[in-house]
Amino acid sequence: MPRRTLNPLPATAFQILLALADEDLHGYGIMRQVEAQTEGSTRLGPGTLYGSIKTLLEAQLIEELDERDAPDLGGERRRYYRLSSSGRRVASEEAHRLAVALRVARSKRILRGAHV
Amino acid sequence: MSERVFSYLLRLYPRRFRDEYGASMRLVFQDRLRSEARISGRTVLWIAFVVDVLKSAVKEHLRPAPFPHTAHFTLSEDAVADMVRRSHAGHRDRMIMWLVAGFGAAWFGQAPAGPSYVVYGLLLLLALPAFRGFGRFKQHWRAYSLHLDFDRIDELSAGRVVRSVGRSEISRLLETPGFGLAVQSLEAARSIWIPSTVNGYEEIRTALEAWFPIERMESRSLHGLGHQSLFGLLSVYGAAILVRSQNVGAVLIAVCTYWLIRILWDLRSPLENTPIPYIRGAIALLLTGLALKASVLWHVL
Repeated sequence: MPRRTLNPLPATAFQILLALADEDLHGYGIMRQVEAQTEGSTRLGPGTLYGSIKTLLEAQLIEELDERDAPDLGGERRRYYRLSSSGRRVASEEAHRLAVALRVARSKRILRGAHV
Repeated sequence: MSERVFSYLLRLYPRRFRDEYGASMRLVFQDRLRSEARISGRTVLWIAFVVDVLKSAVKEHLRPAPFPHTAHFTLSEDAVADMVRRSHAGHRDRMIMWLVAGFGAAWFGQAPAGPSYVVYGLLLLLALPAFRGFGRFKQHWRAYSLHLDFDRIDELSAGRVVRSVGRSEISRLLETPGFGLAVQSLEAARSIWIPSTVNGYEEIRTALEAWFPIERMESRSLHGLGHQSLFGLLSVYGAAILVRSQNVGAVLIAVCTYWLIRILWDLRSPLENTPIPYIRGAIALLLTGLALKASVLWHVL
């Protein structure tokens, strides 16, 4: 049932999957990573962040790990999340879909400048 | 002060969401606030928080409940009685019927008494577990219960988990209308049978259907075609060999053919991924062939 809400994959969910592609992160870590990878254009609030995390957990696209100390936050204990194998596959499919759209946008000269 | 205001804002979320993520959201909120030193920056952050909370709280209220989050299901005393009547008692009654039919045919066919007693005595011994297991069958289903969690289903016996299948471990969901639903996992020993008489069967079914597609099977005996039919076949075979008459031979061929057709029918969608249905099919074919051959021989001789 939850997968239905992820088809098509919302932009926030895709950004969270991308954030977790390299390493396991806690909530605030995901928030910072999303902000960095979107060059500051996407700043997730706590409600949107955990709402998306819940949806991704229900769809088994990410997994929750045991609580552990966060070295970047002075050793405070945090819940960490990891990208699952199906999450990686879904992110890859979405990236491919966007790449196709990007190619079309370039060919039709919709996208110009630094992105080209 | 900020803490208190944020706690008030958290109350806008559904309780389940708040219980699950409230503490984490508060930590993220603190981290984010700490990262902003300037007053103007904090003010902008606060406005963004309030907007985010209002938007996401509405979304969470509209989110369909992952039913059942956790729920416990049992069989009522009436349901157990119904199961006993439909499956176990029926099984026992059919065994008796086959014994009586076989022995009756041997008796009226004037088969030799000694061999008849030996053959049907042995068959009675084979049938004994069906009588003995009556109490155990009842006890088993009285102690049976199911626990459905967010991502797994557990079968319990007297409150102790005996089998557990995770959502991602399900290999097949097979429903036999009127009987129940089999939750099969890659390990056959961990598969769970959910009788349709369990309280809240439809709710369990809805929850499981959201995890995995349900296949529907045509109605068939809970004890399978194998045991009862094989027993019936042995009983008729015994009579046919003892009497060696055309009439009993014809009954034997009819029973063998029926058994063979049922097995071939079931092979269209076997319940389990084992060679057992195929072995049964081969045995049925062999026995039918032997019965035909014997019947022809008796006719000729």
